[in-house]
Amino acid sequence: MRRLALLCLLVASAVRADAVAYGDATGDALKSPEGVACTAEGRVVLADSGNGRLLTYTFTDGSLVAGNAIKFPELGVPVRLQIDSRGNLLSLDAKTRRIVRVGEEGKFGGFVVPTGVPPAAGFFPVSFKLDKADNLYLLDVASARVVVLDRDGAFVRQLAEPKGATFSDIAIDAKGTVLAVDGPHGVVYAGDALLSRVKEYASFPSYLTVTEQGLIVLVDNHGNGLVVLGADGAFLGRRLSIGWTEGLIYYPEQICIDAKGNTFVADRGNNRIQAFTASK
Amino acid sequence: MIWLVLLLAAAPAPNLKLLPGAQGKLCLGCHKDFDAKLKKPFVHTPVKGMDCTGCHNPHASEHGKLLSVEAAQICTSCHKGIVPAQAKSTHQPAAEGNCTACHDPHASATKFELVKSGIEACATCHATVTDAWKRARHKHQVGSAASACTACHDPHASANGEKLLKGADPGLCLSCHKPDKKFAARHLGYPVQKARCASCHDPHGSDQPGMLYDTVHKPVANRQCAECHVPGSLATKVTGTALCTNCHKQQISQMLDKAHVHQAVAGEKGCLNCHTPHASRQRGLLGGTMTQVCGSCHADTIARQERSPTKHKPVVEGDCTACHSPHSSEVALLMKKPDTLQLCGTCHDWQKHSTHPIGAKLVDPRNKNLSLNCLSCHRAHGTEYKHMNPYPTTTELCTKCHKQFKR
Repeated sequence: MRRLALLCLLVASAVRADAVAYGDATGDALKSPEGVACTAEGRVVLADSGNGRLLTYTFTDGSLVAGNAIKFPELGVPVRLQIDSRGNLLSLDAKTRRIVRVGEEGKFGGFVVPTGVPPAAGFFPVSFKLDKADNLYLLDVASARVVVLDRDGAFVRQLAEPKGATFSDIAIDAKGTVLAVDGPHGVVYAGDALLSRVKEYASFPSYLTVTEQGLIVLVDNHGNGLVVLGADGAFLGRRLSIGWTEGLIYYPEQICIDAKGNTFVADRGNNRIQAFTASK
Repeated sequence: MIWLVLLLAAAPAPNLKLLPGAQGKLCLGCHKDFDAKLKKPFVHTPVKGMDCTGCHNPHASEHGKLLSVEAAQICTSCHKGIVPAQAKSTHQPAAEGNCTACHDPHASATKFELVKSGIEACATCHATVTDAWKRARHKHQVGSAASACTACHDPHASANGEKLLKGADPGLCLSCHKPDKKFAARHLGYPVQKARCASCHDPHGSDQPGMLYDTVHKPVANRQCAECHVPGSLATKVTGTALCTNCHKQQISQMLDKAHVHQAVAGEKGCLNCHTPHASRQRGLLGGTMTQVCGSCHADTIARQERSPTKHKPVVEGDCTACHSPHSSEVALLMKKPDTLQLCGTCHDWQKHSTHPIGAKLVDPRNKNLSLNCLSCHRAHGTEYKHMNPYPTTTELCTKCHKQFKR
């Protein structure tokens, strides 16, 4: 039933976005936003990557209300964002390839410094996710592995990518299983097992997330859409499509789906953030 | 004896109740041109035996040229097993039963009733390869020109190798090039007999000594294998980008210092995701044409272009780097320039000032955070519609902004 409700939401919201923001509180325009994070309480943070800053929004009554801008030199090009269980904000910087903590009042809160990570061919994180215990999962493409760190950055374990795979992004489901999407090959993995082949439904899936209901949602970056899979990997549908008017997306990057099912899209090619509510 | 068996196994000949001795000779009464054909040095056995009805029905047929069965099947009714059931690779004409693409079904001046001799027969379709072979300063000399291709390739199908090769690399190569002392000395003692020969050598020939591909990595050309390899071993000293950093440190540092780094560059195999370390037919030691290399991950983009009724020249020509910076960029999608107008204007200069109003000052009516540029109406890799437009008709495209004209 929940699955049906979410699918209905995504179908209903496919035509028109419920809220769109084009700028900060002063009206300065967004530029190439590549990251977004959200909470069930309506806190939304956008990585305004082209402007080298984070922007906070409050999602209330179906509107995105702009709040503070966060900008400091240690986070020059924020791309991927996550909010941990305590409400702390973390961001990946595209230039330094470091995970940056955003402290209180939007100040630099230090780097996540990985310790005890086994040496390998290299270290080049392109994405990260958090589990319920705030363990941090880093996708290290230089060594084709997922490195798991505790909240202090201490090494916990690592998982090798399956042979021949090229992970583009990872997500952690409620059971703690590491899900991964291989964009070039159009494959979704659960652990090291193949879960679903999505080439037929997605041109180049580059991001994935798991909803509270356990659905897997892929961002089809080149195909300009979202692909919904069941927890078993079954294809359930394709949502949104290419375009420039509100409700359509153009080279989407990160999405965030909150516990209520509200979906926020960092609509990079359209220089905006769009929200699709769960209430309709 | 074999031919006798083949004749007996031929397509079911109709019971024509011909008079004794009338077989074939009756046909030649009208088909006078066969007198000359029968004088050719290589005559197809049924023709030689005047068994025209082995392939043709003299009265009527459902198939062209009065053939008794479908043209694609008539040859295999005698020549069974030409394409092995578990073939690793097949020649398209053989697989499709288009035998007459290479063979004359009646007679020819060439062995196996080939329409042309040896390499010339192959050149009909594979002129790019055969012309390169003819031009090459150092040709792979295997037998005569007539057998140059078939020395390594089976013309019909191969049960053992890709690309119709009679065996796999290096086994096929080592059947002639024995890994003796001389071989070892030429390769500085590295156990290359365990590696793929075609990763360095052009199997057809090249202008480089030793038939190396035309673009040779400097350490290979200078016989400095130990720059990258553990001496005497195929193993490299380190893996991934770290290996290349020894020489290309500055270039790699610059690549990694950009906001958008191609995942292929940062990935486990690093530079070797796209480049080959020893020698290549391509510039920049690319592992194949750009369409092949880029398309190995971006097959969706290549496929989109192939579906598109309007083609974008750089994509068709495999010149992805006309617009994209292959290693990294400060711009999303690894674009070479941040300004779309400037980028497209590199080739389409005229359209920069003689087109629909475009430019940074013109806001896209559909989205206030966008200005009008080429990509407002076109998709660079094509769409399923004409002019690389994102909508089926021009009207639909225009009325997205010019709503007053929408019907």
